[in-house]
Amino acid sequence: MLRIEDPLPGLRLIGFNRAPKRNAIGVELTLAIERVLLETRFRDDIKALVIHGIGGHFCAGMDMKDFFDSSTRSPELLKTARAATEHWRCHLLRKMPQTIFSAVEGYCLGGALPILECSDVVVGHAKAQFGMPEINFGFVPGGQIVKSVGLMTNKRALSYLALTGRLIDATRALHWGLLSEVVDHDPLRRAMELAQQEINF
Amino acid sequence: MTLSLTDIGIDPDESIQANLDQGVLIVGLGQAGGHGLWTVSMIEYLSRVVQRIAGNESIRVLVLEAVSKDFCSGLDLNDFAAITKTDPIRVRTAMDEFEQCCLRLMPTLEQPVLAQVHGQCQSAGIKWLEGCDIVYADHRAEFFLDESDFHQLSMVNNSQPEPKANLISTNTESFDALAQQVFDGQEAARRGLVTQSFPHDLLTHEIRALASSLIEKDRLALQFTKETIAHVGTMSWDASVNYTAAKFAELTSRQSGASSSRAIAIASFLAGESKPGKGG
Repeated sequence: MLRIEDPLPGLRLIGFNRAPKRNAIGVELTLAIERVLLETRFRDDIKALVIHGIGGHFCAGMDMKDFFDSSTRSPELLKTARAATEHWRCHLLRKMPQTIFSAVEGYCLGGALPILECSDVVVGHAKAQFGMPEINFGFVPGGQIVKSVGLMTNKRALSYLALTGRLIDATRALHWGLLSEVVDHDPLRRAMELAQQEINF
Repeated sequence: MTLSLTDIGIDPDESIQANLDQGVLIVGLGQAGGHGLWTVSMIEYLSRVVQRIAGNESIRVLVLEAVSKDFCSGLDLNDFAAITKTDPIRVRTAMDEFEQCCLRLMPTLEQPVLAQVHGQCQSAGIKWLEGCDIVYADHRAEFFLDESDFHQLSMVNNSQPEPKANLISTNTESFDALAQQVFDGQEAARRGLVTQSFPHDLLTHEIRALASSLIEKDRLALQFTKETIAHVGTMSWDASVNYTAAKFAELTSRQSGASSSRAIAIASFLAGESKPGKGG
């Protein structure tokens, strides 16, 4: 579910590794994210984190087959997974002592957006796509997601994303404050460069 | 199905054209060729439209646009002065209701509220935009925070001046008003006063396409999404989680057609079948 790599002293890569589901956050993935953040939080030797997606997409949001109407998971497991999700995206990610870099390509949707909000730097590929598609399924985006997006951007952008369910490209995401930088090459490579600069500073 | 406005309790007004078609209510302000000065009756009319469409399921989207060459070039001060002489309470009431409508009613109206702006946009026009969910502007629209109109709005309400739009920082607004700055539609999009700007020729097409796409969405989900946007910003993270849980439960229940336990209890009480007030 997660690929954890420590390629350089002080640097940890956290890769979402669920490519067939476009890295959608399912039960196991959300539990793994909580675990790795809990463990990394107290690692003084790790100075910077780079969060990225493996297989062409950053993250397609929450996995509907796990978390929504058609879920076949047990109520107990879902309760645990939901609590873990709120823990890491509402609290844990915001308290990490490390500088957080995110590298975005492909889809970055719905439940993935708070990760960008909690990041210090977000590098996006020029062809990355961002959005809050919940309304297209007859859902309401979670209040935590709406609040998080509202902290990154203005009310106009938030209303557009949440009410229309349309995806926006990287250029617009940059203008609307979701991204720090747009690149036309590998955003992970660029995020690692920046993270290394931070570690060496 | 096309409904007339009188079907929904809105009387026609000579300075406003309104058309309800397929759930999209398009309100066009002013007269062709006119300058887009907003009169007391126009302000009253807009407030009335918003009040009447609340809860009206036949209207899915409200779009405000101008028939005149400007969206709003200010308040018609001759009209305001003349009416103030004979009926000052009417003017105060109209402005008070308009502010209430823009700042409190529109953001929680179940229908998405859209606007398309061309020409000049200032004073009450900017106040209206604050209540809108999505605003498209002509690249070359001219936004102007007019100090005299700003104080007029504040003074008739007998209150301290409020930011013209929460969308703009108070400092920026003060600077623009005092320095008489004018900025175009593209700059308004950069500042977050409007959502997006388009070349003039595409503006109407884009806003119509947007309105059409919104009526395809689930009505209740749109309403709850608007409410979520309006409320969660000031909540703690934990409160937003609780809010979401409550909203999801209500949405699921209402989308499935099931009545809430509250609705069932009230219906049962009114039918004389139970006495919930007595504990059963």
